[in-house]
Parts: sequence; structure tokens; C-alpha cells
Amino acid sequence: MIIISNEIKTKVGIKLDEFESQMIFKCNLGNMKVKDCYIDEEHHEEVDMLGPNPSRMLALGVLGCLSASFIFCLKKRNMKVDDFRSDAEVTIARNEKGFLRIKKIDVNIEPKIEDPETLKRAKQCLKATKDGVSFFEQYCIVTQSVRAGVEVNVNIEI
Amino acid sequence: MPDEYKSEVGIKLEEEMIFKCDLGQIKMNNLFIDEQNKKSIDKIGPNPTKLLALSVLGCLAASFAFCLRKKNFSVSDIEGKAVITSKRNEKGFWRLKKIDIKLDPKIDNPRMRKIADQCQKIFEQFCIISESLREGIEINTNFDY
Repeated sequence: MIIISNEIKTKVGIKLDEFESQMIFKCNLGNMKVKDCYIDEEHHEEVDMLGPNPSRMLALGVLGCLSASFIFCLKKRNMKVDDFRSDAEVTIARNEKGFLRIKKIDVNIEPKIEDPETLKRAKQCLKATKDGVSFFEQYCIVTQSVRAGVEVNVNIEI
Repeated sequence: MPDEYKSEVGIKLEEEMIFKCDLGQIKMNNLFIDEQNKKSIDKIGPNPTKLLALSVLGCLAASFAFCLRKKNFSVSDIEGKAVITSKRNEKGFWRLKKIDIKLDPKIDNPRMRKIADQCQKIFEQFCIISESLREGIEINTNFDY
């Protein structure tokens, strides 16, 4: 990652991994401790896939970003969740020209919070800003950038 | 293929700002999203920005290979790189400004080069991801072959 004042640049790479199908790529994540990261556009059944396809990868980006932003909002007040899980459902549909496009991503976030003070803060994090999105969503780089092209709906159960 | 389909992913907090991905039955042991460690060498998984870039890169590379395959050509190798530029918006929040993609397919002969040139003009239409995101993020694709 290169930071130039108000601008950050990050890099990733891929390489064709499997000649036969031409649809499986190995990720290049630099020095990261990730051994096997594949993008699999060949297999359609989950049980055969070596890694996520691009739409699942995009959903993970949105999901990871929203989840980290919510936890970050609590951490700003030195608070923590007791447990946390979230999931995303991606809907892909054809546009008017017949091409498949990501229509929407429905995100469901389930933090487990016992402490009343943390719960109070969590509710503050969920408050809507003038832009119509929750306070914590403003901190999510990926979702807010994606939203101009893809509908992202967020549901939080606390 | 139906006109609409759905897929699902999940994550679970592993520690602090590290999440374990739930990819269902996909043959991938451990994929983590790491927002905790800042240095690449310490990270045990990509951050969300890198996942988004991988998604765009993978989709474009697969779309290009798909286009060649439709014309009965197979590339023996493709490498791709993506550089994501994030910038603060007018309110001071970080946003993804653009993704610069470079695809480097191995093109073996002049006939294949001719087909690759044709594919360059149309392959992006077949990429679900980049074409869905373009409204919000500038995506530039460049070839090196």
C-alpha cells in the first residue's frame, strides 16, 4: 500500500492457474500469509469450486468492509462485540440488453452484544446521517463506492 | 441460465478486525479478511478493497478468456494486475476512486492476435462485476501482449 497525502494506492494480481478450463486464476496477494486463493469461474456447483467466483468475492468485500466499519465504530469508544457474524446474498439479473449484472447485495449483520453501554453505542452507530445511510456505513470505503452502481441493503439485528 | 440467480457468502469474527469467510462447500480451507494488520507481511488475508479489486480483475480476465474460447482459441497464460486508488471525498471519507487493470495474456500467433484485438473491443460487456460497478468507480483496462 502506498499513501500519498489524501490518496492511497493498493495492488493485487492474478495468474491463470488451470490451462484446461481457462477459468481458474491464482491470486497474487504479495507478502500476505495466504497460501491458496483462487478465483473460480469454471465450476458452478459450490462443492466443485476451488475458490469464490468474482461475484462472491465482491460480496465478501462489501460484507467485510461493513462488518469492520461497525466494529470500528464500537472500538472508537473502546467497546467490543461478544460475538459477530454476517452474511450477504447477491442477486444477479439481466439488464435491458440481456447482459448479466449485479442487481443488489442484501447484507445481514448479527452482532452479539450483552453489555448495555455497548448496546447503546451500537444504536448510535446505526443512526442515519443526512445522506440516509447509517453512521457506521459512512466509514465503509467499499460499500459507499459500490453503491452508485449496485443496490446494497443493510440489515442489522441487535 | 435463468434471468436471475442468487449466491451467498458469510463471515464470522475471528479476532479484533479479522473475519473468517464462510464460502459454503467451496474447497477453500481458510480465507480471512484482515482489517487488523496494516503491513502486507503480517496480514493473513486481503482487506475488503483488495477483495473488490480481485473480483474485478478475475471477472475481466475470465471474460477475455471466454471471448477467445468462443472463437476456439485458448490462451496458455494470462496475468493481470490491478491498482486501486482511494481518495477522500468532499466530506473527508475515503472512497475508491479508480481501478487500473492491466491484462497480460500470452498471445501465440498472428491469427490469435487478430481475435484478441476483436475481443478487446467487446469482452468487458461480459464481465458482470466491472460493468455493474462503473457507475460509482472508474475502471480502466489496459492490455500488454
